Amino acid sequence: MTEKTEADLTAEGVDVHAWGPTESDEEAVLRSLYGEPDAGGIYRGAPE
Amino acid sequence: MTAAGMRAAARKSLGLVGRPNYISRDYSKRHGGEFLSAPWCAMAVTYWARVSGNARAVLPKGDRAYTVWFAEDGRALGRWHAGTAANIKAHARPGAIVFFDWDGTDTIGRIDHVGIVEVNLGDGRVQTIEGNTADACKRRVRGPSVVAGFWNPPYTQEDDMPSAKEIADAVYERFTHKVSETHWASREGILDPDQKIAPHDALRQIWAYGKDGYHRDRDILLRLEALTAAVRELAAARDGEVDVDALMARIQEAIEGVTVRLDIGGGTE
Repeated sequence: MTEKTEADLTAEGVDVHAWGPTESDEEAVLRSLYGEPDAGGIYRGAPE
Repeated sequence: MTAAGMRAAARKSLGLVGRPNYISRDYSKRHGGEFLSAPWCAMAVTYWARVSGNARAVLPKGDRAYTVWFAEDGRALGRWHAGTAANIKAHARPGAIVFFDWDGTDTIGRIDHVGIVEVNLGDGRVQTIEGNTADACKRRVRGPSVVAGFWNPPYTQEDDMPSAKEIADAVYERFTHKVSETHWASREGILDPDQKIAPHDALRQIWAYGKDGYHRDRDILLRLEALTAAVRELAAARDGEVDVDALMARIQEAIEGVTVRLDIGGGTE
């Protein structure tokens, strides 16, 4: 049996649902750390 | 090599969307075109480690695109922590590489995704930066239900940890206390009320007490020797006339000033 390459392993099975379940209060936590997100919904800046 | 540098590199990727992107292109340059459009969460961590000068700490066995191998690298270093709330709370430092299994196991072979810890929220959860989360680079909040485990790379400067001096100062402060008015040493007039006793002072005090105790013991010994001599004199003169009053006066003089403290308590004072 030929050993699978990293590319094969990366492409199959894993990472297929890379967003996954997040915490229910994620938005509130991020807002408390970084303020309002930008227009693209990205929380920027560095934490205090 | 610092955790702060690693996090700063990750922050620069926030908002990156879609593939191929500069992260997958960078990986593909070294490992082949098949990675251009592959899932890029581990490639992102690889990229951040390389551009921030943290490759030696974060990539002990080289670049990683496959999350399972990435987790195994940390386990091989003896740095792997399973993704329990207690472990996350106690050990997930900013800059840690954190792995996820959407089925909720802590099994390395079942890992689906990876990111880095930016903030330990202190409640068993972490705030992360992840590449390829909904095909974008974003901040997320993750808890033990999806964290399979994590490992802390051996950054040479643990810049998110207190310095050795800060730790030493905290320990020094912890063992420093003020003498209360009711403390026995205060009552005895040995220490002043509200006097601050730090570890360094305490050691000097112990040395001073020890020295004082030595001299007191020596004094007591000399007095006892004098008492013994007096008794011998009495025994030698048992057939003659003994001046009892004079002898008692000598004994009294010998033991005068000897104080005996009876310790009847089990307290700390």
